[in-house]
Amino acid sequence: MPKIMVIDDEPFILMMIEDKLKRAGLDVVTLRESTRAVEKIKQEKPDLIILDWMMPEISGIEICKRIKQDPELADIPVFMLTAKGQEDDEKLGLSCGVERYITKPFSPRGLLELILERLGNR
Amino acid sequence: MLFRFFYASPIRDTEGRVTYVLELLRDVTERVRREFELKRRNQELTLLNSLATIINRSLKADEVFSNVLDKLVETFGMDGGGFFLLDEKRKILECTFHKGISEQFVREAGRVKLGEDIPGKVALTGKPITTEDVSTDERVLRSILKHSGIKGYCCIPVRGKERILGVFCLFKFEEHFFTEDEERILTSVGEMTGLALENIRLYEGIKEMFRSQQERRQKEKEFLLKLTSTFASVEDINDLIKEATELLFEFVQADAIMFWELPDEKSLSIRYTKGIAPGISTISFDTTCPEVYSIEMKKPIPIFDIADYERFYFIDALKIEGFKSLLALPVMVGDKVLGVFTVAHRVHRKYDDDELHFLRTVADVFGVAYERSYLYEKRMLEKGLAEAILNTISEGVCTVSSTGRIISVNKAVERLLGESVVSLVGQHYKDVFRRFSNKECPVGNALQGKESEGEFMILRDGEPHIIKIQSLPLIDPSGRIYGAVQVMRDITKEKEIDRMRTDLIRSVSHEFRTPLSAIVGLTEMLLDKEVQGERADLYLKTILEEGLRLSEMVSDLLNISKIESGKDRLILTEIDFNEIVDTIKTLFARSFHKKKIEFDFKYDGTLDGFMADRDKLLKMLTIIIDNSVKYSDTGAKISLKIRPHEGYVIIELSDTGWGIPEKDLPYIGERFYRGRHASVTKGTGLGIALCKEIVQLHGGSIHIKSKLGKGTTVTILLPREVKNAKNNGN
Repeated sequence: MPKIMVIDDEPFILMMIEDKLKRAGLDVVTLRESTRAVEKIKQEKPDLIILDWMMPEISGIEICKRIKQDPELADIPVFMLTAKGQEDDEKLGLSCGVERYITKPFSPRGLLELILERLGNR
Repeated sequence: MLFRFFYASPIRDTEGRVTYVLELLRDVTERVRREFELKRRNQELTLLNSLATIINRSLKADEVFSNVLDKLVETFGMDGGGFFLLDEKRKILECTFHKGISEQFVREAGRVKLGEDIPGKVALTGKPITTEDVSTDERVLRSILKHSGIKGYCCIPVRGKERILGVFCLFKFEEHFFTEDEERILTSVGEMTGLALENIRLYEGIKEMFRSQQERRQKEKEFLLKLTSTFASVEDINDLIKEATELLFEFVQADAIMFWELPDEKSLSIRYTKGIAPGISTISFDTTCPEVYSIEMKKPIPIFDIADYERFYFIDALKIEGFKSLLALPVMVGDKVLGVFTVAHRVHRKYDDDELHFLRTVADVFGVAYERSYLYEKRMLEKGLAEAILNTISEGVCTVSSTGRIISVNKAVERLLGESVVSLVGQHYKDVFRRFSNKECPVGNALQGKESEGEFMILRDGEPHIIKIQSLPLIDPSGRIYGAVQVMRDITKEKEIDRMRTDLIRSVSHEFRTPLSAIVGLTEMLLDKEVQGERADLYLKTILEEGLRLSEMVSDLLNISKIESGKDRLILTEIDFNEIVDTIKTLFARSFHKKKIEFDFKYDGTLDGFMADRDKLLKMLTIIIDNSVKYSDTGAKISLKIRPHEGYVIIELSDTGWGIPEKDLPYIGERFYRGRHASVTKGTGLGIALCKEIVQLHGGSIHIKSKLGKGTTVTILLPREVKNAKNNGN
């Protein structure tokens, strides 16, 4: 069963995504503290990561960079799910190795479809 | 008399003996008479000829008289004589030259009325009188000559072309009979002398006229020179008028002078006076006066006797002060009249054409100087005005010539670039520009005829400033580019505001997206029937909470922008802090109870009459107390102290909550800024920003002290006398 890891500081986002993906039969791991993100990823080895940008302490972009720099993790696709909706932001995100840039508010249904599509292409 | 001419000649025979004598007699009376006549004529002619020579040789009357008398006395064997000249005005003959008589006698007889005594009669009638013995002559009854010892006497008119100029007389202390011939010769001499005298007088007249004219020309020349040199050295129009008027006053030896200007087409206005207090300052153009008339006629109007000119209006002072004559002298440039001089004399002053012509020239010279000075003054005034305007505007204005040299800069350029005006003028714009930036300056484009602009960052006093330069070509009517004008503006602040606005929009859209995610995402899940029961209730509760947060954000933002835009006014009422705190206690009753918070309120109640905006104060207190509640653990203590201190009311709120991390402290109060604790609490990031606005609106200040893990103290200082200044009248 594919494992999806969701990192966001907003509890209701985590709740919502977890509910949606689990009901679709996916394995979901959630995390609120960005400081522990890389460590947790290494530990869990997820098939896909959904990452918020604006988090206290360490930003999503920073985490993505670290993932992409780590040869062990670099292959894991990262979806950025963020409130930062500016074009420049998207460019910056994509340049840091983000595979998909999804802006809030978003459709949980749509997110699920994107995840399944990505996993199906594996 | 019979003259005979006798001629005898012997007649001889062949042996040579005289046989008889032939006698011839001839009557030669006629011949002798003719010969005598011829001789006399010759003598006469010789005399007249020599007299003519004497007369023509000299141009001095005395010399002529002396020589003529000498010759006549000698020729006619007289003892003396004299010349009497006629003074036509006084009708008196005066002895101007005499010979052979005592000075004393001349004193007695040297002055004769026309028609009296012999010289008087001769001068009157033009006929000579001769007498063999004046002392016994019956024709002469009363004459001073009767007992003077003079006997033979003649008096001959000295006749000019059309009139008698005088007489001359010859006398002898013995009887002398003047023959007809003599009388005729003497009459001729009288005529010759007369003509000579007339010539001499004419000559002297011309000479005098020439001399006086030359003197006048010299004077005029000197005056003009003085005038022009004075005008050249005077720039101020008031000085110019003063100098010109004073010089003219001196030149015509006036007793009074006034200079009138034409401020409009309706009146004359006094500008300078000397020797008179005119009593009025303007003359209407409707007035019939020499000044207005001279302007209309565009020529000087001399009035010999002001008493004669009833149709003219003269200013009262002229009449009262006893001025007799006047000259109105218009001052013109080309056909345009600039003003008029009134020159007044206490005597009847006559101006001849020459003099008027000259004065006109003087007025013309003055006119040119006046116009020049006026234009100069106007130009200076305009320049001053333009400079003043340029120096007061906040935009920098700089002009460069077609070659790129800086011609002028205003004060603002100095402020913008931090370089002095003096050092900039004259430099090439490229040299100046290079010091600030290596980008291409728009001036170059403008000098090519293209409007151009650019923004440049410069460092001034170590601070970066963004300067916007707009360059416009200066094009003359023929299409030639003769320079460029640059308008410079410091747009640092605009840029900053612009950036802030963009930031705000960015953060607003960003901050709105999170609660919107809850509403959109969770609703979709509910509709898709993904969740049921208690889980669904949690979803709905979250949607509500996030919806409320969104609405709170919107109203906070609106409040802030309302205050910022200056549209929000303080509604000042007397503040009863007890009442406000009661309201707060009611509002927070549930939260306090839920979190077991101990709320302590200290107020000594001595702030009677403190005026502030009650609703805003309540909002502010609500925000900071809400923060204290949110960022505290259960059982925390919150205390509110209100007390007066000097000119302030101090509101101090302390809690025993989590405290604010040191890193976050500087950013508290920035819109949408939420500190580390944001992850565990809900908030808009706008609360303290709004508090700040409210406090500032009251003219107060807000200070936050905090220590992580210990708690936070918010201190608000409000002035006791709240001035509604920030919004009043705007």
